[in-house]
Amino acid sequence: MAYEKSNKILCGENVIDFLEKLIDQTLQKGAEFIDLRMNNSSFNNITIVNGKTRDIISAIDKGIGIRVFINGAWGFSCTDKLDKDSLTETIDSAYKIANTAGDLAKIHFKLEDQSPYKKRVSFPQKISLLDTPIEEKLKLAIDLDKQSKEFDARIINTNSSYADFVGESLLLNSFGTELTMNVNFIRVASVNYAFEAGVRQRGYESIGGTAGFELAESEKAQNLGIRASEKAIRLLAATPVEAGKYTVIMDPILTGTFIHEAFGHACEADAVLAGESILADRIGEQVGLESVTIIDDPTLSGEFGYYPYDAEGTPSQQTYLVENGVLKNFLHSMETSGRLNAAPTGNARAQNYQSVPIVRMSNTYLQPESWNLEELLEEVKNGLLLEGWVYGYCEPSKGAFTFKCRQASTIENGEIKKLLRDVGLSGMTLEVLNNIIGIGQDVEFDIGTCGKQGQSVPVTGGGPHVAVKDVVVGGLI
Amino acid sequence: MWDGQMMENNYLEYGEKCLEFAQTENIDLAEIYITNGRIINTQIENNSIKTAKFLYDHGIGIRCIKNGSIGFSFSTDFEWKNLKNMVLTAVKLCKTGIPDPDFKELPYASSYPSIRGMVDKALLAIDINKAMDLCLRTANSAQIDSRITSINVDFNCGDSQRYILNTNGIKADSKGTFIQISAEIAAKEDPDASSGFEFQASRFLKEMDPEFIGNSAAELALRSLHTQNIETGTYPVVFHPIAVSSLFSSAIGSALNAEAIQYKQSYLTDRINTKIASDQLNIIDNGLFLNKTGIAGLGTAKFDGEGVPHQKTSLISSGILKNHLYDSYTAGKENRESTGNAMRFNYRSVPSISVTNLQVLGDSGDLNSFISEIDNGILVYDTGDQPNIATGDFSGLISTGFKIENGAIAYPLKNAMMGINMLDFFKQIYQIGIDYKTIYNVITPSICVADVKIAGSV
Repeated sequence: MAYEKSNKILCGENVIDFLEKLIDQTLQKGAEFIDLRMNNSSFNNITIVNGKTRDIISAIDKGIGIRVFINGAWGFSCTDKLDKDSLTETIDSAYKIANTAGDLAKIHFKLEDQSPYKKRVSFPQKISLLDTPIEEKLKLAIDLDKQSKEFDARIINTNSSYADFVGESLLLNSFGTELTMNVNFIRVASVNYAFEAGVRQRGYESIGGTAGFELAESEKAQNLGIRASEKAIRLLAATPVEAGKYTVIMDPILTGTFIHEAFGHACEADAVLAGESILADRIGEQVGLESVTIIDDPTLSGEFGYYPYDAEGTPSQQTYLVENGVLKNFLHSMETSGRLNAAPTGNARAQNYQSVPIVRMSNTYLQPESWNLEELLEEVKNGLLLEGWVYGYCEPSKGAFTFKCRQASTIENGEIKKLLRDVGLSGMTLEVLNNIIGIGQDVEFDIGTCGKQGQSVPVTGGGPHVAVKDVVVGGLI
Repeated sequence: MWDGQMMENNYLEYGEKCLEFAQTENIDLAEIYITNGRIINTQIENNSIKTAKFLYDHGIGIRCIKNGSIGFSFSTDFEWKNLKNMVLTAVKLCKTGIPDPDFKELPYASSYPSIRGMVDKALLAIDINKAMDLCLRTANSAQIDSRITSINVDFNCGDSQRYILNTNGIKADSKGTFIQISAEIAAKEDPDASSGFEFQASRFLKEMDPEFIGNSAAELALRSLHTQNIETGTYPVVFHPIAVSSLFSSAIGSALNAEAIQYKQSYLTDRINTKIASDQLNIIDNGLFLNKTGIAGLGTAKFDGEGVPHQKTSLISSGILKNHLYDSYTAGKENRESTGNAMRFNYRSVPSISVTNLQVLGDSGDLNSFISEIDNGILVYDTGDQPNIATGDFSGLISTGFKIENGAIAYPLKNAMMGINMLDFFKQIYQIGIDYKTIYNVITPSICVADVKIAGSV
């Protein structure tokens, strides 16, 4: 899969030399900046439903995406044809589009020069995903499906999936960057449904990371199906929650999702520039209690949101969004850091060569404090423990959010009591950050794919148990 | 930039060669799906052109089947060496998988309806300047008030061709064009912030009204300022077509997916030929939909992702549930015909069941007349939330909604939640309008529902 091997097939000469020549020619025509990302990747997707293979997918995907920047506007063009003529045509097309767009742009800005990086980097991987035969991956999914079904007779439907992605991406830009990244992801998931006496419930578990097949061999992956079934079965006995205002404890998964969805998106500098964030103009302001520190960290090797360099070749780094309650930083691409006069943070990511890099989160979490769960329960006394996450919806411009949790339990006299289902919570993000009573010490990261402008990228949201007062909880209202 | 022509290529020949080769590899069945598409995308951020993109994507996907086990692979490279590898990968995968006796057949060749209104020559000839002009017109028409703080516009247009071939004799192709413009506007008047949006999507350029899109989105943002709490209670509710579309896409579209029904994941399981809604509710899945001016719907086509002819399927007739949505696999399980609902995004994807065009039929009235008849009620413009398909329960935020008082809109709602089971929703429908709006592949008017629980901020 290495480019060295495919050079001859691609262009008949060293592909990097050829692409660099194209960059030079386009600079001479008047382009201010050019970058191109060439991907060559292979992936597998296996889905088992009720003990049968629903899909087994395996394919190779390759292509190139080229951006040209002129006078405050971007032109982008991509192709999956990697011969000389197509590459020349594609860069010309990006140049022409940028030229036309630049003429019409009303907001003009420059891109700050960046240091060039020449490197080859690889994601961590102990057991090669490419060398692991498909039969072994299939067996894992089949085993998960079997254990899901066998867990309980009330499990009526099982869905088990295995997915991996191995790719090489080459990034060249007109600052002189030449970066080759070997990337690999793996994800295993189970979604099971239980049914009893007219009640149907769903249980979900997943595990994933920037790792090799060793992740699938971990104990946590091996009993994933059982845990998903267990969740679905437990929920059969749950009753709907009564709507109202509660003091709640959010579990690490819900905390992580809240931090990512409700707060993190408002910290993306493109949203700030587009006038779509409530946090615009608030850097340096107190936005939450002093105990609140929120961090985005793509350098956490092995986590699902890990990357050493972003899609523009900026080295990744840990970024404090909030430190001791004060809004410190937004997340930036090359463009937004220049326009907002901030240091680059390395948060430009692209789904693949067909997508332009945009500002994204990576591993985003609320920093833990000293409380343990028992202390939090004691402090809350009477309220709700909210667990997990089904889906959520946020409006960064209003600062409003609504989430569906997987389940909840009543907290009565400091003890976890009755199980509840169909629990939703909604409110204003900054009110929550100011209504925190206590932050736990146990951090967990939950994997997910974050969608924005039609692009999906792997991320995690994390945090500890957190107690919050005055949260509006709607069940079946 | 475009030459007014579809790009033609010998795609069918490539497909035939792959099928022939696959058949020498001791498999039962094979199917080829090829797509070829171009997209122009331009974005306006804060009223300035920001990004313009040209995307070209073509490729070929193959499904191979052995004892009911399906393997899938695709390639973007049409060189024979790579195509051979793709075929061999799919062959290997289908032989590795678990045999599935529930799999019956791939569809057989049949005749297809001819459909007009699929290809707009004006869109085939569009260039980046015209695209940006439409984008700017949309943005300019949103600038109607000093409280508007940001204007973001997204424009997409393109064309696509698709080809399907299988070892049961299917060999067909179809083409279409599309265009879509959307505007997202933010408004601010301290201490309140609000947002508004509007969009249009069609297969023809002439159906776009950029001035309407910009203006309407801005109006909505302004009208949504200064929200107020409402009292928790039961109200008559008028649902704007946008809200109907987001509720029905899942409450009807996903819930009638035969796979969800067969796996007992849907609240509409075991309800065929039973009354689930008020007499007034009539919904069809119309894979052949043409609008009044003869332009095909975005979900309209000659055939679905497996080569089954598109058709009209009655889903709810006078309140009675009539049909589920099938692909060939789920239809085979029940020994019946597919309804032509195997959707496929492009050559990279395997078929999955989905509505074609979901058409809600109305009888009289429109949003304004419905509002004028209500003394104390709610207008739900958008929910931003979806019902639970397993239970039919809907409980979520009304992302854009208004209080109706004395036959007129009084004020926007603050953080109000709505709660209803969709079966109750269907039964309490008392009026369906004729103010049809096309929201991508949902065509629906406004709908009135008698008693809906609304919880104000607690």
